[in-house]
Amino acid sequence: MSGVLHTAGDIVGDRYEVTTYIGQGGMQEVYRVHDRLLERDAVLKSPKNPSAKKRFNRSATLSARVNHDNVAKTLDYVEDGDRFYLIEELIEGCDLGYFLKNYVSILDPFAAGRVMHHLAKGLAASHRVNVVHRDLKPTNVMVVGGQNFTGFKITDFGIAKMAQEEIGEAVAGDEEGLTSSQTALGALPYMAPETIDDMQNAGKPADVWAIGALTFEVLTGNRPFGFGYRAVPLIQAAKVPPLPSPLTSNTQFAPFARAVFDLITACMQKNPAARPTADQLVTTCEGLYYSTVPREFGTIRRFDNSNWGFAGAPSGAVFCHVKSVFAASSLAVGERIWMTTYPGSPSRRAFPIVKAV
Amino acid sequence: MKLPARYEAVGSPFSGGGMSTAFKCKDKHLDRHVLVKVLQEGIDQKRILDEVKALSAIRSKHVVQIYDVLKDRSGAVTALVEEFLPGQDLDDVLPITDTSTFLRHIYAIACGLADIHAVGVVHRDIKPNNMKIDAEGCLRIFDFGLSRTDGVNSETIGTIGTLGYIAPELCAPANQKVSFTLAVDVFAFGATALKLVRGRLPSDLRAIPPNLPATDADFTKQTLALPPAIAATLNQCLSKKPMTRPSMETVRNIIGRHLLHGRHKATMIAGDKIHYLEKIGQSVKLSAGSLGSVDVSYDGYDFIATNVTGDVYINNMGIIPPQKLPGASVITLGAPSLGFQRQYITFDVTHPEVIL
Ligand SMILES: Nc1ncnc2c1ncn2[C@@H]1O[C@H](COP(=O)(O)OP(=O)(O)OP(=O)(O)O)[C@@H](O)[C@H]1O
Ligand SMILES: [Mg+2]
Repeated sequence: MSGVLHTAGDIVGDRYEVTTYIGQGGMQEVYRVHDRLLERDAVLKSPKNPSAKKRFNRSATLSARVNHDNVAKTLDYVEDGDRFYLIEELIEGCDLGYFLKNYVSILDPFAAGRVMHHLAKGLAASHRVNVVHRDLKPTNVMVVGGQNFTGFKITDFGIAKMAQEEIGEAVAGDEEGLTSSQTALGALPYMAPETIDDMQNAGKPADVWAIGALTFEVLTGNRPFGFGYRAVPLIQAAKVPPLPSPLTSNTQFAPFARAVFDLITACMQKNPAARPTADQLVTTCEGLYYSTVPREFGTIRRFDNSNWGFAGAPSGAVFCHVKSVFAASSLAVGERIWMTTYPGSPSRRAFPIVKAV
Repeated sequence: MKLPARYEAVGSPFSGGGMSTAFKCKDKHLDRHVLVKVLQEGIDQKRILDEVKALSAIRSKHVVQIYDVLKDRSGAVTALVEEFLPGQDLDDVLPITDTSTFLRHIYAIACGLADIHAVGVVHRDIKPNNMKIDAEGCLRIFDFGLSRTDGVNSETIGTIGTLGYIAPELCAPANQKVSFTLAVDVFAFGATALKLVRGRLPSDLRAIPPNLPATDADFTKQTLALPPAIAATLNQCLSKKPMTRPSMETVRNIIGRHLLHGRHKATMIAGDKIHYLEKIGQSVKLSAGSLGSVDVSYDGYDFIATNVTGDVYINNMGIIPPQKLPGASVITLGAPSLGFQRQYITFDVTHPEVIL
């Protein structure tokens, strides 16, 4: 794929040399650039619609106010000819939407809790300087290290302000508008009930709701109320579906899955005032237990009884027991898994294990 | 120097270390405050180029962010633009009187320095007034690649740093070449930690070269009580010999491990029964009649297996007590020949994440 605004070699603002096209959403194109002044790589974002200048600038200044490790840093804003650009910290990795689709679709409660904790941290920092995100969703969360899953950064603050009208259209149930707007389609599953009524209501509690909805998705593999306009009445009713039984039937995981789920339901209360603030969410997340040992991928190579077998992984053969698998009760030869491994004999032992894509 | 229209000075300039003048400015493009550091006239341009290079290379949440550089008409770099950090220097909040705050601060400094060292940069001027706690409570290190050449400040000597933070190996006669290794920063880190606990550096450290070892610079003898492993590590940072100082990565890991002291939780599952082990000193006996038994206790850092009787395996390995359990294990009671009669207990350790 390539973008329409630039090709490799273009120089923007006398400083940024376009190297590759990264991708696009509904509102903007994203490129990797080389900052010739500071000799480092960065990301360049430019709106597709050049008449959105005022709003784009506004979203740039909003994001520039936030300074936190869990938020992508805003480095520069430049105008060149009739176009304008936001320069942002380059995050080597992929967005969370891509991660869920291409690597692992259901995260174990430890990884899910970690995602929630980091996002709550970034959100708390932005709420402290009165910046509301309005469009928190997996594609606006960058996973540092991609498959290595080392950190999480929120991006595209305030861009939703630009997308507001489009989202409004979608909420009105206008299927035409919905299919034509990737952005609205992507945003809807994470929207809080009060914003469905009126996007003007998108305040801090709506961001907290979105973190709840997003964490629900990473823990269960599903959006809490599905997607498309059919989700609208369900969101308005705000009845969070219970955890599916495969997630709670294994005693190895049940208490941890419930702890994360309790936080999800607290964030997804219909009454915005009843939800925790981002700061309160951070404090509760600090009580979550998880391990920070790096994860690795493997493939089941041997599984000749119903309980255990071995996976091949970069660290060598790994012993895998079905009891260590989250959200599934079986493993089969050829399946890809995502896990943490610990010393054992003759092979290392995996815990937790989740199925990879 | 005339600032480009993008940057508008707010308030009056102040000294940005010995080699530059700093201005708090408004960046009109992004409507935020930035710090513009302009190289003073007559100062070697290499100073600012080094600083720009270091700041561009480092990726750390504990290091100030660089945004821009300004050039004069001939194209020479004359100023850099970086994030404006409001608030007080670490120097203004001394001494620190509770152990937990102290540990969090030195952990953050160690993390930042490890990140700096990871890209091969030596800061050369680590000290509390080159650090700040930002609005989110995150410690930030700034003022890179500075060497004091002005001689105005009596605290600085030549180009080697700030009195009290200078490693002994740098205190060579003026005509002798000294080399700045990463260990120079490790020493300054040790001195910084000492300043944090004492409020003032002891005269033994302020001597040239510093008189070491010295009682006043001994972390086991300060009024702030420190965990012995931490005090020992900090003492090593102040070693006379650069070779015996630990790497910042090691220091970071040791402090990080201590920050989790007493905060681990082991979840033990036998069949459908769940048990937790999380209190320091607490211990449980896992046994299956005559097949075997083992005691597992928590010492605040690790879960340790002792008192083994019969046949006990951890992740299929025999035990040599006292033995630390891995973060995830299956404890098997009974000899392999017993097949289905063997008892299995899963034992998984988790802990909260320390995010500063
Ligand atoms: N700071 C960054 N570093 C690296 N890649 C990034 C960065 N920010 C965004 N990207 C990548 O660029 C892609 C396009 O982002 P963009 O925000 O335009 O779309 P989106 O969020 O998927 O959709 P929408 O515009 O509908 O919200 C993202 O999917 C992401 O992978
Ligand atoms: Mg986006």
